[in-house]
Amino acid sequence: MKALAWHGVRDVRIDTVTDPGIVNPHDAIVEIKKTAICGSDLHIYNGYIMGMKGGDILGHEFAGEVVAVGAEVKNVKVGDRVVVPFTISCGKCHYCSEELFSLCDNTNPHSAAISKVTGFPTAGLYGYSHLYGGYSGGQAQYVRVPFADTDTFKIPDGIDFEQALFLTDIFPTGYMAAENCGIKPGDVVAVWGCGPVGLFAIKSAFMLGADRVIAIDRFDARLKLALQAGAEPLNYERHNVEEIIHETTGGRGPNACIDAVGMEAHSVSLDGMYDASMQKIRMVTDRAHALREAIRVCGKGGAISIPGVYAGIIDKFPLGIAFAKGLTFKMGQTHVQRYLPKLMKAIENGEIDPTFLITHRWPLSEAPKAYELFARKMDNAVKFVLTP
Amino acid sequence: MKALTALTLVAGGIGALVMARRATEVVAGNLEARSIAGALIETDTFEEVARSKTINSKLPEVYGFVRDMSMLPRFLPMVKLVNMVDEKRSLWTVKQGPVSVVLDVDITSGPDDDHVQFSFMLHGTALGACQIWLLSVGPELNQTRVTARLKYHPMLHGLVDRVIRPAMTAELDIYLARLKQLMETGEIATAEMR
Repeated sequence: MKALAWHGVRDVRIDTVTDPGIVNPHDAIVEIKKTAICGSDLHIYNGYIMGMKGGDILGHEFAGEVVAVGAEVKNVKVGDRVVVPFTISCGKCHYCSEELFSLCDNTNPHSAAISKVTGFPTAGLYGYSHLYGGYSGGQAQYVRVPFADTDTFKIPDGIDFEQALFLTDIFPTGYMAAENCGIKPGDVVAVWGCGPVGLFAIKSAFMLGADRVIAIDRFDARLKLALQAGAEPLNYERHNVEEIIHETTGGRGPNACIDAVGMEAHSVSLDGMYDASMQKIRMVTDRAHALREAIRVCGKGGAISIPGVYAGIIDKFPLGIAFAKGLTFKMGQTHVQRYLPKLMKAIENGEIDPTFLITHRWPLSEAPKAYELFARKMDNAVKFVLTP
Repeated sequence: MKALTALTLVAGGIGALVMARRATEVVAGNLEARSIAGALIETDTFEEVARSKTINSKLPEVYGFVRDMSMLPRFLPMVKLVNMVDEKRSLWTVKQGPVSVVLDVDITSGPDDDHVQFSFMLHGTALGACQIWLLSVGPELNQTRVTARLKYHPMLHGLVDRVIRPAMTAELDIYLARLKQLMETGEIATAEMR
């Protein structure tokens, strides 16, 4: 089959590789109908995620049709149209039973390796390095889905693959980010980053009762989508974020702040330049300007929610400021399986059409070019959807 | 180094090299070699590495699984073959890296079915060590805390010990993770990209 494989920093190619097969009795094989490039794929593309090997197949957002199932699979059958969460979860361990699916004990074959870093193993992820299990991703014609009874969700009639596609990651991720804010009616929420996760966080914040959402980015195309989603756009290259938010919230600051930027924050500020130079000499792994700014801007007693991916160590983290203001932090990989059925229902009921942010529909064969454009934020790229 | 670590893990603790010599000094000569390890390990002479996991299965199920010799190769991946000699004694063919050996193993079970002890002797020699699996109910009734302990001789104090001990710890983590996966899901998580 054809698949997009990682070969080094900013070097991805379409390779011909062996088709996946059933390995374990709870596996299914899915023929990919639609797949997407996630912002977190760019962290791999740009060389910031450890544990990659040449030839690894990328991609953790995909939907398709089941073409084979293992002997123990009960909930899906050949021919079912399914969407697959990016977190691989067994459905049986303590964490899965608590609906903390991304913390699954049992799905990371390299649990000993990641435990050396984190102290405990976390769930395996598709196409996201050997630290997260070494599972082949879904930017391919076919993918093997372990624990298919827990990790495949049937797509109802009336919803097409494109509408269901973002239930794999970015829609639940945005929703969990908003839920982690503990939003109450009347709350003001500020969102850093109007990429796909940020946009879904905006939509979700309103779904959960936020009164106002302030959306911070520097790209007009993204800010326009945020405006269309009901947010108040704020371009940080033209305005002082802290002053504007302070003023427009009557000096109180937002009740909650969402960092949907993560480890590759762009900034021309002093701390941003410091981060960039430290990252170059490998003294830090992450550039955390957006997070620092969110901590300063957030109102007293507020919540900081972090759906943006951080990989390791950040420097100059203003813990004292967070302590003084009594902030609450919530973060982590999304427990997709917890949110997916509810959000599928919202799509089915017409409450939201997740395809609003698709800017590019390309064939999988053009994926290397798509990565390049997306990484450089060219051509007003917000979301690439690929068809194998 | 890799070969040394492999040999260590194969024997369940290379400290047994000295232990065996001391064993023959301490224990009057008529004891069978394979029982020496279990006896000496009860003394304070031995260092211990211990790791734990909680498994979402009832204690009798976990006990039955650990006690079932046919299941051993599934969660102790270096064990390739188990031949039962009698109810309490078996021969394990063990392979780790380039090293392949046969271990003579005494199996001791607790009276309350709450622990299993494997006392190893390298077949045909007096080299040995000990692996103990302790089980307890909790934190909930349908869950089991499993502790795997590996006992080895303290001759390895110092640099060698500091190098080998983490390898032993990591190895125990792998055994426990595999046991947990098998008990909870019925399979070992497997990825394609190697």
